[in-house]
Amino acid sequence: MNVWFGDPSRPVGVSTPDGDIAREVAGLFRPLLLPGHAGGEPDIHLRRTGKGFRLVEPASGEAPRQFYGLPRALARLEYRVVLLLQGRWADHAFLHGAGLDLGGEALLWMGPSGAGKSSLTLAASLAGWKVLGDDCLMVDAHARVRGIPRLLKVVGPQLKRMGLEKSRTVLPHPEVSEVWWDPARSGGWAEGAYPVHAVARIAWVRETGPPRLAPMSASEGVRFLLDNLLPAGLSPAASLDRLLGVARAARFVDLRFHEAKRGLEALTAWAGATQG
Amino acid sequence: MGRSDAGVTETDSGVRPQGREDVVFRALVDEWVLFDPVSHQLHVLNNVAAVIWNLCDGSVDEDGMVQALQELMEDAPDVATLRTHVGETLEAFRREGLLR
Repeated sequence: MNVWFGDPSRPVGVSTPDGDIAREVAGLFRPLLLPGHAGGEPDIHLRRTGKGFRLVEPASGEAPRQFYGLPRALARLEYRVVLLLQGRWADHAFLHGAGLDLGGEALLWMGPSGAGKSSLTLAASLAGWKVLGDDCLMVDAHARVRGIPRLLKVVGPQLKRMGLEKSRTVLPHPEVSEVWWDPARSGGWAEGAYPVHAVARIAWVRETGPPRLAPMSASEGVRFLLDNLLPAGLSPAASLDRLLGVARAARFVDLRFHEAKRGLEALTAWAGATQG
Repeated sequence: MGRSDAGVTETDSGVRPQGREDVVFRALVDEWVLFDPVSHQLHVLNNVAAVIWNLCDGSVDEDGMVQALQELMEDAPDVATLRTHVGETLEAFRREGLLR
């Protein structure tokens, strides 16, 4: 069975060995699913073998990869689909960040690895916000942003802090410490393209205490956006006008927090108060 | 007229700085920015530096820039101060490799 994602005019296809696995694959990017799409040759083939699963991507030039368990095969498949989707939408600027729908506008946050992006996104979803995604944002020619709806990656300590049962996550499996949370089970996905209201530069801090917010200038904001461009889609130079479009419309703030839930509450309260 | 090693246009009357054509100049709220597509650096300019950048087209020397700023600025400082502004700004452009 083939599963297709993305834009019907330039979809990404995955062939799967049976209906059960097709359902697992479809669940990776449910908002991008193209049910009933009759595409051509799929881009990726997930095959069952005597030893587990094999992932074959003929056009990539990569050697087929063997996986003994389905979770690891799906994790690799999910990553490869994201790369293919980025290639299909190469006329966009891509940012490494996350965000939510704040009354029809986007509230975004970005930061280096370990800054707490995923924790904030999970906290947002569990608090009932529609999230744009947890990893990859796309900026169109009108400086509007949409997310690639990747499932939220959650590790053990996060599960415990958020009060989540592992059995409620996608791919609960003793083989992997990381499980995935589907925002459709909580606040849902923010679909479509959003004008940007605010962008936060986030950092998790070791010290406990209330979250701290400090405004940033527009030029600091543009630098920050440039720092968070992903090596996909448009070049930095070609992305500049889109990022400037975001910076002209948006407010920028620096957020330092210890506890994701409180950080999110402080950020959404500040952003809500600054909306017109 | 010849071209120096530093990539500036020279005439009998002086050096006429010329900005690299690939550097992107844009307005941003109440500032201006230059983006260097080679180094991926973003440089933020105030209004005076933005005017100087726009005069870096290879046709204006430093004296011409000072004169242009005097004419453009409502509360222009004295010529010596303007000359310092122009010199420092051009030096910064050169240091960042933004001039041809």
